[in-house]
Amino acid sequence: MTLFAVAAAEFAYLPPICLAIALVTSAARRDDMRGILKQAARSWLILTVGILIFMLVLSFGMEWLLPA
Amino acid sequence: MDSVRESQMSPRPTRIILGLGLVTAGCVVFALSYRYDPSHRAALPALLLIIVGFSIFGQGLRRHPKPLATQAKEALQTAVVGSDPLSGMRVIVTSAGVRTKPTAISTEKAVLAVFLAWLIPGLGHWVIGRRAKAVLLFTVITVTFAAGLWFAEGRNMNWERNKVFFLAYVFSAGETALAWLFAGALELDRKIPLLDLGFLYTAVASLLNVVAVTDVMDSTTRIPEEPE
Repeated sequence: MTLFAVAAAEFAYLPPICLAIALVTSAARRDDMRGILKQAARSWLILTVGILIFMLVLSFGMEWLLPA
Repeated sequence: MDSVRESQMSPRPTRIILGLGLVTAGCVVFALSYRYDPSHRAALPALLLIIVGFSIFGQGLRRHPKPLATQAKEALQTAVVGSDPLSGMRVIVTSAGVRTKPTAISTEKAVLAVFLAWLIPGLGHWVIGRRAKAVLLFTVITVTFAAGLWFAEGRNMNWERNKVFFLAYVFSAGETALAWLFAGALELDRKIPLLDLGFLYTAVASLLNVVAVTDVMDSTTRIPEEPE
């Protein structure tokens, strides 16, 4: 639970900014609000999880490549 | 013809693996450039590799991927010519959906719409008649921009403090100018815990305005000339 709390605090900034990115990029090329919101929800999930995984891989990778 | 076309179109797993490989290579080059290259010259090509890799990975997830050569060319163009560094992620998350029908307007009005979109997010869309989208874009981008200002307590509007981020703010000129007028002279007189987060949010909001501006360009077309 503690680890989860630490991770949540560390990455809490990610979902809101991914939501902004998802909404704006989904709004491009679409005019219907329903389509935009539907695509934005999908994109938000992919973005948040994708960036989280990418950051974890990058931090572990850099830790391995450049040990302190 | 079909067999030639099919042979030119790589199967999806290839693109996914290639894309991930490029992203990994880019990450390794990026990390190594920070360790061994004092001037960090290799950092920018590494970032381009990452963005191109994401684009190709994204294309691999699509149902009808384009030929790999076309895709790589478009991905590189997007990464180099496109103004937002998240262009690779944009390729992933936008579906192969239907393009909106462009509005036929005069060239002057189109230029005005693009300029206004650069100044204030959503204003260009309002001018060309896409009101709902205008309100959505304005709300999302302005709230994100304001959140960045709030996190950094206004201390992210100083050019000297972080030039790279400030250059990103230029893509949302009106909001940046307004924020700079009020907060540009604020001193960093104490430790601000969320200063970096403030830089990030404001920069991302400004770069998202690039997507809005390019959408205005995509949403307009020249009025067809009358045949004589």
